[in-house]
Amino acid sequence: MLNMIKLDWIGMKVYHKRFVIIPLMVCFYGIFNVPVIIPIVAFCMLNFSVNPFAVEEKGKLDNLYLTLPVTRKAIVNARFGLSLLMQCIGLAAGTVITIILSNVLYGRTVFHYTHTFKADFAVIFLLICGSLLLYAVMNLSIFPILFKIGYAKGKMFGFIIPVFAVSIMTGVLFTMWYSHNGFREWLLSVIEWSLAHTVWTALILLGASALLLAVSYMLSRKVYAKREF
Amino acid sequence: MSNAIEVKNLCKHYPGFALKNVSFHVPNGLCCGFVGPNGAGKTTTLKAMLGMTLRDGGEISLLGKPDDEVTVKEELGVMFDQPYFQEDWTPLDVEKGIKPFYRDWDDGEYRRYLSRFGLDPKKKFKTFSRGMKMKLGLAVHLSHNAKLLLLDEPTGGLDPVARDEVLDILREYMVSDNRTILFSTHITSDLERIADLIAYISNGEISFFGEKDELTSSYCVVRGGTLPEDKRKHAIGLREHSSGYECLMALEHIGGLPSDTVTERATIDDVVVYMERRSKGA
Amino acid sequence: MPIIVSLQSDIPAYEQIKVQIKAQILSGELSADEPLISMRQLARDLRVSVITTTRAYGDLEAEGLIYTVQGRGCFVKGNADMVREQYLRSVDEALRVVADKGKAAGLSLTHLQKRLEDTFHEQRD
Repeated sequence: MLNMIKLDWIGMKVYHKRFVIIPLMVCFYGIFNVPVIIPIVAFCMLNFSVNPFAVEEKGKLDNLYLTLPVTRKAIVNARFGLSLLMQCIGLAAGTVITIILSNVLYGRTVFHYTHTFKADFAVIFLLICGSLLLYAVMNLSIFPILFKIGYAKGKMFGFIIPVFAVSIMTGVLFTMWYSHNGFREWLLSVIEWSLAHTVWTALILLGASALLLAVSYMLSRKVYAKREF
Repeated sequence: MSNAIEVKNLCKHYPGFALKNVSFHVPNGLCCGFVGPNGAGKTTTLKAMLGMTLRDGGEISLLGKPDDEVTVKEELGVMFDQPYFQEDWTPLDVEKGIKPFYRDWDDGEYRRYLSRFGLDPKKKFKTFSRGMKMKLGLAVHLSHNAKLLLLDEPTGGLDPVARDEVLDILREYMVSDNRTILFSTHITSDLERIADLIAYISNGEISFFGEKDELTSSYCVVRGGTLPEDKRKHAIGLREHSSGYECLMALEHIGGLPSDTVTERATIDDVVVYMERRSKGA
Repeated sequence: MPIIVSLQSDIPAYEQIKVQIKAQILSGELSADEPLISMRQLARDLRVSVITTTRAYGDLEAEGLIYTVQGRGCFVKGNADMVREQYLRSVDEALRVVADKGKAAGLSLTHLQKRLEDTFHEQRD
């Protein structure tokens, strides 16, 4: 599988340069709101791991794979593998940055915003679990469709719409947090509860993530096995 | 293993087109030309051999192994139209990405071929001419000791010089024992001097499969003033015009034609064209 | 050792190859136990089918002019002289017939020679 992952990576060579967007976005949002760094990294890494599908427009990568001594199963495994690998790297990096920034910026005011976020173990852990759930949801809404009909045809429903939907929902969430007191209080109480019951919350979040990813994987395997080229 | 390729009753249905019981075999060490008009089913058949298209029926075996055995592809070299490399890849990227999949990859061989074909290892694939792209694909497959080459229109879109170069590389490949090629094309003149066998496919069915020399030496192109009535049934793809007629005819029926008739050895092209005309006319 | 094949000719390619190699063996250009170019290499050089060269070599072997060593290729058999003798004998026999018939028809030697020349050249084409 490592060879296949490496090949997927080389395959998306043309998009390697785009990787620089990730740290840029992290800095841009992170300066204002340290807690969102980890979810943002998770989101960006997922997007980036869609590239092996996207390069279909620059050369038929899947067709190439099918001329090599690899099974369709191996192709699916590697794509998931690469995606998970990138996700783990992203979460780790995001965690480190969050810890550093929260310590550096604590109590300081930057662009009229005073940082009050303190990164402790429980919060970081739950941020990671929550991001994994976000990742799993997006993976499930993207990968099976792209495996089934490819990027050229599946771009709209299999990528643009899910990403758009998540962005909109995030925007709505933030707007409501800042404008709607009732919503903010409710959300704060949820956050408090989960911080008080770290283990349970983590289990729920990780369990849901695992389930969604498993479904995504099985669906992907099934549809890719039948795909015609 | 005496047959490098065995296809038995391959069936595949699409709306509007179907492969019907396609059967042929290519013995080890020979070069088989897969000919037929556009849309006849050549590419579909090749894709079925690779599992890129899932067949509805029939059996395929490559190099003695059933085609779902993934290790077959270790010794297989496949090229469709152009190699499926990414636009931005350089020959070095190709090597980095593909080499781990082939047990028998030889770095030295690859570099030698790159230099022999004049391919700059650091230039991007998209900057290569069509002929150079083909040569890169061949360089890759020659470097992992492929025993069977499946090529779909390898000389399509190439100028005569590049075509000759590609064909010469293929001929050189065939000099060693145990090397087989299946080469689909609608440029039949390419096959005249490289193919040993011809499989002729039309409308999803194989109408002829046999030795190339046999195909061309069994038929003649016949041109004359008036076609005798008793010869009419033997005339293949008959075209009658104000100044006479022309058709394809099997050698055994040529005797007894009027003395003003001109007969010429048929080329593969002639056979394909007249046979197609017959099946369209009938 | 040049071998030239014309695809336009009425004579099948394998026949042309066979005839030329045979001539080279009988004339001594190819000596006993000398290796012949491999069938596949010849096919490549002449740009003909490997089936063609295989058939040519097969016929030569059947006529006793060459032999095959498994894994090493084809070689000229040492009895080229003997085969040549046989051919010379049958040529002599045929010439005797020609001479008798010519004399019976009242043809002069020069006339006979001219006819032999014409026939010889005609068959070459």
